[in-house]
Amino acid sequence: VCEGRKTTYLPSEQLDYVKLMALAREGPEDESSCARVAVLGFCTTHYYTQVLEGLGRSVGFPLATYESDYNAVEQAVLDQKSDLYTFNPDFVVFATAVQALRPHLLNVPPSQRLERATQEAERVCALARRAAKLPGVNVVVHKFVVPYERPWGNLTGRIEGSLSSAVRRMNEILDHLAAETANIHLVDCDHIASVLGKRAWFDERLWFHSKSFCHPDALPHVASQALDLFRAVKGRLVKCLLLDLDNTLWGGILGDEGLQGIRLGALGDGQAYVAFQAYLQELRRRGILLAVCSKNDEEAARQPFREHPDMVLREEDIACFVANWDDKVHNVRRIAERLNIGLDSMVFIDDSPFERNLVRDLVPEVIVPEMPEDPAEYVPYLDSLNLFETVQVSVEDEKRTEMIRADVQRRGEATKFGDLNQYLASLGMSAAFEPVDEYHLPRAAQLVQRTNQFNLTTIRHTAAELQQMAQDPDCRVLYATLEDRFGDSGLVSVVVGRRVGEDMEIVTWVMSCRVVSRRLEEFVLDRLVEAAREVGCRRLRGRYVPTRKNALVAGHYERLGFRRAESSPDGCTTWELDVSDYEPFDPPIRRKI
Amino acid sequence: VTREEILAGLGDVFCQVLGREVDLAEETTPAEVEGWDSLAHVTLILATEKRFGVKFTGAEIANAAGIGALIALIEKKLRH
Repeated sequence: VCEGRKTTYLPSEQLDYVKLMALAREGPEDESSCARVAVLGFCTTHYYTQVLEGLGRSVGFPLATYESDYNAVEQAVLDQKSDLYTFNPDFVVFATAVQALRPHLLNVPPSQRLERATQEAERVCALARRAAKLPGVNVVVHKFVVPYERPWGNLTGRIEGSLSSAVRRMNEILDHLAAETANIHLVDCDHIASVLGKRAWFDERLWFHSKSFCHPDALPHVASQALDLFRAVKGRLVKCLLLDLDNTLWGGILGDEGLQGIRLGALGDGQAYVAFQAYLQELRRRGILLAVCSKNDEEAARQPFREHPDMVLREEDIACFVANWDDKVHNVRRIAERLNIGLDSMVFIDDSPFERNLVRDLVPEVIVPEMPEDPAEYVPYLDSLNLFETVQVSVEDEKRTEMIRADVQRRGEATKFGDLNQYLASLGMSAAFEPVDEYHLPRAAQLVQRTNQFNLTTIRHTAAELQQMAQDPDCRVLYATLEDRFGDSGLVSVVVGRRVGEDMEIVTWVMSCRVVSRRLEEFVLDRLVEAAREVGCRRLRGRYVPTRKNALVAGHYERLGFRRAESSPDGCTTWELDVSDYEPFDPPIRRKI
Repeated sequence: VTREEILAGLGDVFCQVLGREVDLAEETTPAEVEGWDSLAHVTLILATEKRFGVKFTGAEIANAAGIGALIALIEKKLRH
């Protein structure tokens, strides 16, 4: 979906439900390029669906939508002949409404309320689990909004069976559901309602009049977060923040005011910059790369990171440090190249409207948010854009910066060796190559979703699909890791093979760009041939499907000694390799068992 | 605020919500305005509330069928 489209985002003040609904009414785009979204409501969903559609259009992620009949979620999900199944959705959204459950919860005395809440939540979970079994689907469930009313007043926290605690219990059950099911995701409506204000969220008149789960002014905020999830599922992820320094990470101009003169620390707006850095540090911990892109002398620019006592960010937190007097467009491209990531996975943060407009104009793929004038607004503003949505967390996220820094070091070392092979041999590389198990599934799915360049077919298998194939006796879902004396790169390649008669078809082959030119693909092929022989296949068949981003691997199969079998006018090529007379490449990579 | 001013204000609201110029008179009923169905009704009412800084009750939302009724309601709310 949407390959090649520009991702845009809308700041929240532009979220107007009337305009978005009008946009949706302009009629469907070409349906074949749309993500298919089924909205199932325990309330009316017409406004919400229209807002979703309008928003999808305005951010370049068009949707084709389907709505279940009012309050007919069970019928839609449980009856396999229902329109839901014919619609064949990519996404199923469960629009919940705490208003619909309120009477059921209040119907029983507080002593029985948590039990009732558990039953109600389990009912939603069962439906979501059932919907999650649809082929290739991802399910999005709206969490419940904890109501504003408190008959016990400030004593509420002590009352075990209060309505608030009952609704919180339901949300915990949903959290648990999403944690244990790879293709179920949540929109935290209670968070959205809290940020907007619960009095703005709830409009009881509209619930009674038309069963609206919130005031329509809140709908775009919900839709926006649902869309962020859709995009994350489809692999549209932000991977890196490009950071200006002067008046972005600290107040004042380092070059003019000197290390002691910049505003950073416990005084005045210096606190705001510390708070912003702490927020960025947390993003780094969850796997977002931080890069410095500054007009400064490099040595001087590094000094605060090394010496200033109030800096939260240190040099080791920065994956790529670029400070010079070139124009920023040049430097943005340079950083993308060094980190080996796409321009459209980068966000450019700069207090200068001049620099923002320059980058916006000349590198339109990069996301360039406006920045508030007041640094105290940096965190609330950036956070409100919800740019960093992701549907998988992996144990490697926190180590990502460290691994990338090792890559940059490694490349520095490479220039010392004239001969690449000699250099590679000096690295002492070792790699695991194993079937994907439960422990490695999240990272494998993440890699399949994030990788654009070294990706032969760009099929975005979800974790659920990978798991399903891993259990299929005709399929092999394999991963490779890579480690050397500079550090551990972790899980960096995934291959999916499927036996079709005497052929083993390579459905998917992805590899992290961080390990390109390390001969890991040769190591993987050696192992693949072994795997093919084990299951009695005589040939490997691979396909290259060109996209805007994967030209890197156009010659992949040819380089590995495959023979071209077919070429189609759309640029797809099919390649074959006989396994009987295959000579292993034997690159200098030791297999870890 | 005169009834004429309210009528003009409603014209703005309808235009904004329905995305086109709408000719409104005190006698206009929903049936006479293309697009003023039960779904658009809520949007029209909420936009009217915002435009005039008033708030309708649930019953008023349900019963405000027609421009004359809307004008009368707004007049009443603005007087208090």
